[in-house]
This record gives sequence, structure tokens and C-alpha cells, in this order.
Amino acid sequence: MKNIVAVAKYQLVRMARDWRLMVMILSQPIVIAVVVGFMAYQEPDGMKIAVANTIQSKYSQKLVDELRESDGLNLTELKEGGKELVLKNGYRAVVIIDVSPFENSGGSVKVYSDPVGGIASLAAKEAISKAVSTVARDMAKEQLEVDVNSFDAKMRQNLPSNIAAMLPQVELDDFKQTELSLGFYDATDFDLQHFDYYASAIMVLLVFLVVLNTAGISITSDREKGTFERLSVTPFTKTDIIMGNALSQFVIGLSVIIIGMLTLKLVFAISIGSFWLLSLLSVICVACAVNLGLLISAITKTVVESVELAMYAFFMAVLTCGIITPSETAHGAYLFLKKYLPFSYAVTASREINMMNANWQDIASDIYVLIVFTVIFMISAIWALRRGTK
Amino acid sequence: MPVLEIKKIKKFFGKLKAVNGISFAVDENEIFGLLGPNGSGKTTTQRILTTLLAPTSGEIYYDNKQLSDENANDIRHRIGYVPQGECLFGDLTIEENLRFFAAPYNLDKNHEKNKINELLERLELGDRRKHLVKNLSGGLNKRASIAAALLHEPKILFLDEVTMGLDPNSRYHIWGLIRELKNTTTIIMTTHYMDEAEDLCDRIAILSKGKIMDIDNPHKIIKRYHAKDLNEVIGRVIEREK
Repeated sequence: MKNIVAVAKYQLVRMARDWRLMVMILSQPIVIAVVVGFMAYQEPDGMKIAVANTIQSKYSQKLVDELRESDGLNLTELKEGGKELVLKNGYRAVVIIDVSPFENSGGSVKVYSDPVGGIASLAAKEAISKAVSTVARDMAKEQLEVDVNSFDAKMRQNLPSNIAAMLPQVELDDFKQTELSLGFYDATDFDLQHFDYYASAIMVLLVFLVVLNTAGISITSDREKGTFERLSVTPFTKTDIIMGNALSQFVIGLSVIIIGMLTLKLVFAISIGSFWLLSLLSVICVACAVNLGLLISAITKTVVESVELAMYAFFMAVLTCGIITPSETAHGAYLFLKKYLPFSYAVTASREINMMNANWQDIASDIYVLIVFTVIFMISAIWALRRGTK
Repeated sequence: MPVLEIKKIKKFFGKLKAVNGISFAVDENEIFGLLGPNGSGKTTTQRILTTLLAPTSGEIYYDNKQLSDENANDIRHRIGYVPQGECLFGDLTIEENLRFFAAPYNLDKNHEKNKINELLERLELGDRRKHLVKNLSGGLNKRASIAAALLHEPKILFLDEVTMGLDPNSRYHIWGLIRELKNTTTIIMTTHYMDEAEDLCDRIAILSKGKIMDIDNPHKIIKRYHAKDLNEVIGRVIEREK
């Protein structure tokens, strides 16, 4: 333990003395959070949506009208078409109304959205959901009105006319509790903005971006300078070197996540769920990123190699964390990759805490997976580390 | 009894035979020089002896105990190493570097402090102890590296071209230090400066293409070759190998 602390302490002192590096590291969470924040913090407008209204019925037309009145949508009505319209002509989503008869309750609407549409796709989905919900509610209400009048008439038919005359008219209001709805519910307790969807992922990616690079070059830069060769002739074990470096990089990573989260909270007022769960997740995310970085440093021979591999890992993180695309419907190969890399677990847990106010049970499985990845990365880094420079 | 003995050491990198079956023994408090042209296998041999490289075959004995993966860390407690290039952390001061390199030897706190002070004084670095290593001259940097290698009082000190690139003053300073260390430490050094080897080494091994061409006291070797100095000897060895 003494050796680990010695490695960690002097690594930290060295990093702290390199003020330009420290400025770069510690300003990254602020600058990137602000830039990405301004990029993502927007209400999309003029999104191109196609509606294939093949039925041309009363309610399908009403849905088209609702969509036309929705904020932010630029609607094109087509007589026919399918999901192939998405990505063609820049449509963010295509709404296909193809179930007949739409007048009956239980009618359905298929919405195919742009898989890489980001915020625009999300906003389009939200607008379409609202419109469908409104039409469905009207449809159900009208259907119910028909049923109530029919019930009333039938009841009076079977009674003597003098008794029937004494009965009060059955009002629709008496049946309100049975009103139908299509069940579009908000999954969150908060008044979430689109940016909240991204903020959590941005924080996780930020940690990976900074820590993968700093941890990734920590050993290779010493190798290139020759100091690692000297270190290798001392009784410091490989475990001392990896864990000592991990400890010092962990301090840096934690600083990054704290600064980044504060920036997002203070500048963009993102919603934050349980503070303690978020802290726990942050600690584990940083540990995971640090150990992946050290594994990169252990298996590469030069700083250039380390940076390349760190960037490679970072882009894998971006692509597989689920920030760009809602991945549930993606190709099986992508889902396989996502399952066996740690990034999506970190982003999912972070989103659940920040957006869904999740408790421990909700995120426990994600946390366990991240811990397993962290341990695997650490053991692999210790195993892969080679003494000497050649 | 030799403090270090190596038997038929080979190290191959693919088809390249960097070290090809060399054997020698080094006695206590001896200064032993490894000489030869570039690519002769000096540095590879030293890297094998300092546990940085595993030999392809052969045996190494420290105090009659064979070096293996299991006892490599014990051996590291007994050896000191000053590599050819930069070996201290530039962003730490001399004193911080010494404290860092003392950490794995589990020295008693007071002993560690006294040892650092003693070495700083002995190597005339006392007034520079708070200076960052990256701001030191080549000579001072090398002296600080030697101090870091001596903290745990190693039984064997490996010096890899330790005076390379230094001005004459710094070189003579380090020569004096090596002579002083001889009283307590066995030194194995590589050098390209033949005057250094002649002046300091009790014995030298002349390497060429991974093999030992000659091994003896430098003055005896010069006499045997009827040469005026070691430069001429090395020149002839290279010529013969062509």
C-alpha cells in the first residue's frame, strides 16, 4: 500500500506541476459541457415529417390536422408511402396511418423515425405522440357518446312510457370515469427538457474523453522518456505501478466529473436525481475509465499509439453509449457490441438517476456490470504491463 | 566468490542474435566494463542483468542464487541502475525523486532522510535539492540519477554509458565518484570512452556481435594486442570481425 501511495502521490505532484496540462484537463469539462450544451440545448423547429394517410377517413384526417397544428413540425401529406421515406428527402419521421377502419377504437398509427435524428427525432416523436393522443381521446369520447345514447334509448324502449318519462336523461358526464385513452404516459416525474436526455451521457463521455487520454499516456510517456525503465529496476511491483497510477488518475477523473456536473447544473440547470447514487456512479465510471486507460497504456508502446487507441476507445464509447441513436432497434451486431462494452451501462444508469429519479434497485445491475468491467480492466492492465522499454 | 556469474546467456530478437552465449563472473568490489561497438550486445546484456529483459537461454547467478521470475524482485533490492538516458522525473525536485525512488525499499524514515542528505552532500547536490530535475544540467542530472541508484546501498551498481555527453569536468567528477564507490560496491559499466575504461575498470569484456572477444584487465589486453590503447584494440576487433 505504501508503494501504491508513493506512486500515486508523486504522479499527482508531477501532473500538478505541468500547469498547461492541468489547465487543459480541468477546462475541458467546462468548455465541452458549454459547447455541447449550447449545441443540444434547443427546441427543434421546422422538422420535416411525412404522413402517409392511406385511409382518408374522418379520424385519420383529424390526426393529420392535429399534426399540422403541432409546434415545430413541417408536415407533408402523402397518399401512400412507407418507412423508406425516412432518410429520403430529409424527413425526420414518417407517420403511417394504415389500419382500417380508423374510426374504431384500437386503431393504430406507426411512426418510423430517423435513427440518427437526435433531438429532432425525439421532438418529432413527442409531437406525434401528443397529436395521436388527442385524436384517440376524441375518438374514444365520441364512441362513448354513441354508446350512451344507444343505452339510454334501449332502456326507455323496454319500460312503460310513464315510467320512462320519469327517468332522468343519462348524461355523458356520468360515464366519464370509463373514458378511454391510448396510454401515452410521461415516464418521468420531472419537467424534462430535451437537453436532460443528453446531459448525463455527456458527463459520462467527458470522463472517458479526459481520463482515457491522461491514463492512456501515463505509462507510455514514462516509457518514452526512459523513466519507466529506471522504475522497472526497483522493487515496485506491476500492481504497485498500475494501482498507484490508477489512484492519481482517479483524482483527476473525479475532479473532471465534479466540475462538469456543476457546470451543467449551474449553467443549464439540468435535473439531477439522487445525489448519493450519482456520486457512486461517478466514482465507478471514473474508476472504469481510469483502468481502461491504464490497460491502453500497458499494451501500447508509444504515446502516439496510446492516444490513437484512447481515441478509438472514446469513439466506441460515443457510438455504443446510446447518445446518438435510440439503439433498441439497431442491428444485432451493434447490440452485441453494446452489451460487451461498459459505456452504455454507465450512460443508462446516469440517465436513470438523473431523469427517472431511480433508486438503488433500478441501477444496481448497471453498477455491478461496471464494477466487473473495472476489475477486468485493472487485472488485464497489471497482467499486460511489461517492464523495460523495448 | 563472484557476486555475479552468468553462464551461456543468449538473447535473440527474431533472427537477430543480440547476445550469443556469453559467460563471465564479476567479483565483489570489482569494476567490470562491457566494451564494444554499437550493436555488440553491451546494453542488451546489461538489460538482462538488471531484470529488464528475460534471456532466451542461459543462467544468471547473484550470490550463487539463480535469477528467476520468482526472485527477480529480491534481486532488484540488491542492484542499482543508472541508465544511459533520462531516468528521473523531470517535474519532481531532486529531493522528491530521491524520496520516490527510496519508497519501495522500505527504509526506516530517519534512515531514509539521513541517506538522502548524505547522498546529496556526497554528490554536491545539497544546494540544488529543491530544484526541478528538468532544469538541471546534464552533469547534475547524472549525479542525481546516481544518488537515486545508491539510496538502498546496492551490492551491485549498473552504469550504462554514464558519462555520455558530459563535459570533461562532469566526467572527472563522476570518475572520482565511481572510484570512491568501488570500496563498497561492485560496479558493472558500459562505456564508449576507452580512456574511462582504461582508467576505471579492473577488468573489461570486449563484445562484438553478441560474443565476448576478450576478457581481462584493460592494460593486459592492450599489451597482448601490442596496441597503444584500448581504442586500437577495439578497432582491431571490429576489423577482425568484418
